Amino acid sequence: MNSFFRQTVFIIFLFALWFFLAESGMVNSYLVPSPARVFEAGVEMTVNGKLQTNIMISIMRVIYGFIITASAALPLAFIFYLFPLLYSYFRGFFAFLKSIPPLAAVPLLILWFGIDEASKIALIFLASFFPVFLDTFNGLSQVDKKILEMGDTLDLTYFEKIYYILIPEALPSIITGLRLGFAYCWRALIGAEMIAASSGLGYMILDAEEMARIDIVYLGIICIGVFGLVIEFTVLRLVNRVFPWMSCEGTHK
Amino acid sequence: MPLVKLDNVSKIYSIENASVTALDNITLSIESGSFISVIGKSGAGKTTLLRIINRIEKPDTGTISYERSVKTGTIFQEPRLIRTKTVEKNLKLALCREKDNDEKKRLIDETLEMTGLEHFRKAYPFQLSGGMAQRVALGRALCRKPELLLMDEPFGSLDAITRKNLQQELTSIYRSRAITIIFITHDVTEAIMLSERILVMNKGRITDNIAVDLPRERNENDRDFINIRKKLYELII
Ligand SMILES: Nc1ncnc2c1ncn2[C@@H]1O[C@H](COP(=O)(O)OP(=O)(O)O)[C@@H](O)[C@H]1O
Ligand SMILES: [Mg+2]
Repeated sequence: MNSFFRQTVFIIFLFALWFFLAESGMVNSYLVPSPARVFEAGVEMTVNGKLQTNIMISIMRVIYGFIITASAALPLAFIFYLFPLLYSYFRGFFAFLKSIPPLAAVPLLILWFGIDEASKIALIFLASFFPVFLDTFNGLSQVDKKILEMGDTLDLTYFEKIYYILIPEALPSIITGLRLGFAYCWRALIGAEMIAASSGLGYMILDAEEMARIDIVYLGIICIGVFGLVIEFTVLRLVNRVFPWMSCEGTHK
Repeated sequence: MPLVKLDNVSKIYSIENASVTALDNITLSIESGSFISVIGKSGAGKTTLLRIINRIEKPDTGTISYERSVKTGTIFQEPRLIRTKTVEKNLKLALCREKDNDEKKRLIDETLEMTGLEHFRKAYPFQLSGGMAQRVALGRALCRKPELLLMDEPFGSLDAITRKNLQQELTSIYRSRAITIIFITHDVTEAIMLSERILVMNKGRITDNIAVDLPRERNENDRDFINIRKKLYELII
């Protein structure tokens, strides 16, 4: 039995348990609607198109937020690595920012960016910036001095060493940082959409709650989980396929 | 005029408040085309000597001078490969200035053949054994045709058979190219097998300088070989 199979078995078991508890009437069917009802809600929301629309909107927000995060965090990590003196000014401030949960900044974000897309993207950015920045920065810092020295023995210039050695050696950490960052984006998004939104999976859940459609709440939660999982799994597979050395992270030769 | 000349070179490291004299007043001439081994106990200053010749490290006192601008190739004790690059790309690193792509390809192919790595062109370092990785490192140092090859216990971590093969390769490279080699090892037999001259180091000084006048192919069971080995063992202690 491989690991994938065992994981699937457990999920099927959970579904069966859920089905049994709900159908047998042992639990309040309003609080825990049967999987069958959640499935029906899924059909209903698919037929009227709301499910797909909300999923797409959420995914697009994550992608925008992620692109902004990556285009800020990666260059900053490089600049701070290459100019440690500069970083020493920012270090304390960064530690301060890092310890603030992004949700705490929501009132400010709404004040500054309004309740439209910008404030959501800003929240996603806040939630994913540090994982990407720190993994990249640490990845660069942990590049073995010995391997850079090897570059010296090949008479490489400063920039050649950055391009041919530093970046390729730090790449595994950078990719891990980006992957984690993406996961953080996805989680932050739902928070953002619950605060102020008129679309997206987070909104769909909140809206369903107000309409007392607990089945749709369940549907939304399952969708978030499934999509998060599918994206993570696909990205991981893709990364391991394109970058074979990623699957042996930690093997230094 | 020698290829490299060291005059009264000293190097002192300080660890905490203590100071360690890694090199103590070394004077040494390296003639073009020679194959010199450096032996000595660990901590004798062999690596430091190599790093000074390599200009990774600067002497604290004394001078080092080169006859002209010399292209060097270095092989460290570890392969120091880039883990996200294939064997081929790791070799290309040494040729990143080569503008002529055909020439670059030719040099890479030649190096892969010489090191017996043709089938591992697309392999990543994590897919190589220690011996293969060290071959890549050897290829990387050699493919840009260095005039001076600096090797710091390059075969130290390899098994006996791989080691023998690489020693043979190195000997044939030495005999087929105009190349000067400085080879550090703590293996006395290896030093006699490979080199024309052996420097014995002890506490930062070169205490002996022995010529190895044995014909090639050398055999470690020959009487002359055994005699030199005996003598060297006495000198190291
Ligand atoms: N970077 C360094 N900092 C401090 N001490 C060093 C450093 N490099 C070498 N040494 C000291 O210099 C001495 C000679 O070292 P090394 O040249 O590496 O010897 P060997 O290669 O013969 O084993 C040792 O005592 C070592 O501790
Ligand atoms: Mg050493």
